[in-house]
Order: sequence, then structure tokens, then C-alpha cells
Amino acid sequence: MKEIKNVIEGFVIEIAAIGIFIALLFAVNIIIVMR
Amino acid sequence: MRKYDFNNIFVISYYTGYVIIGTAFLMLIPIITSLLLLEWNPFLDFIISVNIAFIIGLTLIIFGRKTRENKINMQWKHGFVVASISWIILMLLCAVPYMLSGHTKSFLDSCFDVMSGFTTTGLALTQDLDHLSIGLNMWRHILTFIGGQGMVVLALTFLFRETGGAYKIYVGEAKDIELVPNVKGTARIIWKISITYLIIGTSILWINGMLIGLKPVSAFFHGLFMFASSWSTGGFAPMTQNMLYYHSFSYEINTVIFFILGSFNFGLHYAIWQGKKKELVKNIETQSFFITAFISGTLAVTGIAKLNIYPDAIVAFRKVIYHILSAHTTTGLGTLYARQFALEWGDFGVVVLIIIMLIGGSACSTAGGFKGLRVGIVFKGVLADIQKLLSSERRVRIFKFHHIKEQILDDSLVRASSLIIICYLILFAIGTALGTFYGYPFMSAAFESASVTGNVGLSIGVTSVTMPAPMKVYFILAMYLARLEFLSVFALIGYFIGGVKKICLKS
Repeated sequence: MKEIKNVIEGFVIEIAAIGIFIALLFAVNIIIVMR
Repeated sequence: MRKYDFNNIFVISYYTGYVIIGTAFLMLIPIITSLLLLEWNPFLDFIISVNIAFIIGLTLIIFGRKTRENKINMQWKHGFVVASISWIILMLLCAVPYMLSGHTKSFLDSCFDVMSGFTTTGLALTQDLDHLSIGLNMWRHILTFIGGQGMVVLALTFLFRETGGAYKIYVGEAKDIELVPNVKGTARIIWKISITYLIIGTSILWINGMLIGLKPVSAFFHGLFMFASSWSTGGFAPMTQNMLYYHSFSYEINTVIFFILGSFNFGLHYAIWQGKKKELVKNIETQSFFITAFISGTLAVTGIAKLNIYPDAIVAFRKVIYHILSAHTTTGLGTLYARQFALEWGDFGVVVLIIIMLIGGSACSTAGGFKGLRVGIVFKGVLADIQKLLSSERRVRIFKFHHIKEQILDDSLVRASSLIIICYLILFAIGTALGTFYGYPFMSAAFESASVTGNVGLSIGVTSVTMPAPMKVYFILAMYLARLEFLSVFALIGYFIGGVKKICLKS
């Protein structure tokens, strides 16, 4: 049970980190293109 | 006269046979797929191919049976040679279904596609992709999924009984990470991680596919193939238009997430699954990737925005940032036609792509390139040298970096990383020179060479059926050398030269 919980948590953390990175790139992209 | 020691050949033959049998079993998947979908021509093509593969694999095992009978120990040289020679034999065997399908112009083109799949490059010479059978498409994407993990890892997981020699073949396939002390256990964990993500990723893309208008069965196969391609950072797609076929921002974002995940080290996934969440930010490879991806993305958008090609920020994100991330993770999925890089991006955008294609993703992942770990080690090595120069001579400094655990940055590590980077750059330079020799413009030749060297798969239009045969042969060799990170191929060449010398010289 603990193993499954760790796997789900790990998956969510990885997706969240990548999502934040993509959002950051998107924000920079908007700033540069809109200038 | 010195008697030739045939034990070496028996060991290599025995273990190579097992790797071939392991991969041959995979042909059962497209056989079952073709049977269920009533695709009789592909079904027969794979029946013929699987029989050829099993005959060759079993012949090699029987020929090398003295390995087991006499309990001959596997040495490091055997491990490297088994890894490199099994990839060549598998390329020839796995090309048979392509050849029989009639979708390739020649056996060389079939071998090109297979090596592109195994090495998770993604460049394709298969013709009329849009009308390819689901069975053969399944095979293409299985090759890329397995190639990302490694054929040796596959064989280790299911077929190898003893582990004594197993680690040596595992390292020969350019993997050295040990997730648990036992190499079979490590191979099984790699598979567990991949299969878990396969189930989650395919489900997400299946639902996304249905939401954008695909029929359920079609959405399932597209989801499965696109996940396999993304996770393995392969770059194959079931349709000629690649990602453009879907015309969907959500589908593109999902593939971006999966190919970034696929480009991470398996050790990183395992560490996070074990509760070590901070590994994601402390690891030298993720730091290296996020920094270089951010810088290259910013530079590319800045350079291309000046050309006013894309009408708004969202289109620019979908075209520019998508390709930056696809190139950096060495995936090769694309939302542009090949010639658009040459005609619309300008030299600066193309140069940025070339650099990040060469840098690549993480070590012990499905990604190619010279790897973020080596870039991080060399960069830290340079910083360490500067700090040593500036500090007192009497002061002894120990430099460290974090990769799964704290590790000491010593000169031999920096030297080894630098040597492999130099090998990649030589491969890139030769490929560029060859392209210009055959009349391709310099930037196009460099782009395609970087794509091949980094096992990326983005094309600027050079890779095509009409490409000269020597270039196809060179690209096959380059994809193979780059994927196995040179050492095992050099060991294979050295072994054959040594063997020929021993047979020819009488002493």
C-alpha cells in the first residue's frame, strides 16, 4: 500500500514539476513575442 | 603454433542467442495484433520473420552451449561484444517484416528504419506511412519502446538465469545504473517503471484522442503508439504528418510531458518513487536539463520572433518551444514539416537546435546526445579548475556533485566524460562533412548530422529515400555508435581485429 502511495505521489510530483517548467517557458514566450 | 581459443566465440554466441530469442518473442505482439484485426498479409510477414529469428537465436545458443556445459565465465570483453553484435544481428532480423511489407524501397531502407527505432532516433524511410498496417505500426513502435529500455535489459528481465555475466552485457549497452545490487532486479525495475507509465500514458492519450475526434479503437492505437514514441524519446508517429496530424494543443502538451519524463534517468524515477522527492531538484542532470532547456527556449523564441513568422504567442509556443523540448530530450516529434526549419527558422534557430540536439537528455534514460550528466560534470570540472587556480596551493579541495547520491568530482570522471563528448563531436563532424560532400547545404547537413548523432529524429529534409546509399549506411552506423556510446562498438571492432590477427599470425 505504501509502495503504491509512493508511486502515485512520485508521478504527481514529476508531472507537477514538468508542468511548472512548461508554464514558465510559456510565460517567457508570451513576454518575448508580445514585446 | 598457438591454438585459437574458441571459448570466446562460444560465450558470445550463447548470450547473443538469448538476446535474439528475447527480441523474437516480441514479434508475437504484432502477430496477435494482425490476427485480431484480420490483417493477413502482415500476419504472414511476421510469422515468416519470427521463425527466421527463432532459428538463428536457437542456432547461436546451441553452438555456444559449451558456455553452460563447461561453465565458462563471461568477461568484460564478451559483454561489450554481445551487446554490440546482438544489435547488428537484430537490425537485420527485425528489418525482415518491413521488407516483406513492401513499404520500403530496399533492405537498406528497412535496416535504416529498424536502427532508427532501436536507437530511438525516429528518422524514417518507410513509404506511405498513412496506409501502413496496424501490425507493422505496432512493430515499429515496439522497436522504439524496447530500444529505449534496451534489448539486453529485455533479455535480462525474462531470459537470463545466471547474473554473473549479465552485468557485463548490461554495461555494454551503455547503462551502468544499479537501482538494486542485483542486475536482474535493476532490469525488472526499469521495466516496472516503463510499464506503469505505459498504462497511465496510453490511457491519457486514448481519452485525449477520443476528445479530439478519433474513433475509440483508432484513439487507443494512436495513444499507445504516441506514448511509446514519447516515453522512449523515439519520435516515430503512425502518420506522415507526425504531431501535425492531431491539430491539438492538449495532445501536444501531453506528449511534451511524457517525453520529458522519458528523458529522465531511470534512477531518478526510482528515487522519487521511493519517497526521495528532493532528488528532482538536487540531481545534476535535471538541473542541467532545466537550465539548458530554458536558455535555449528563450534564445530560440527571441531569434525567431524577430522574423515575424508566427502570428501569436500560442502558435510560437506550439512551434518553437515544442521543437526545442523535442530536440533537447532527443525525441524528434514535430509540429512542423521538415523543410520549414530551413525555410522559416533562419540560421540562429537552426544553430540552437543543433546545439541542444547534441547535448541531449539524461544518462541511463531513453534519451540520446552526449547527456546532461556529462555536460554537468565537464562544466563543474571547469569551475573546479578555476577555483583551484584561484585558491591557495596548500588548500586541498574536494568537489562534489549530486546524482542520485553525493559523488566526488575527480579528474578521471571529467576526463572520461570529455572523451565521450569528443567522440560524439567527431561523429557529428564526419556526418556534416559527408552531407556537404553529397551536395547538401552546410546548415542542412549539420542539422541532420546532429539529429542522427544525438539520436533525435528531427529532419530538415535530408533524410529521404533519395539520400545516397553511403549516407544511409553512415547514418545507420552513427545512430548505432551514438546509442551504445562507442565503447562496446570499439570493443567489437577490436575483438574482430584481434581475432583475425590471431588466426593469420602463426607463432
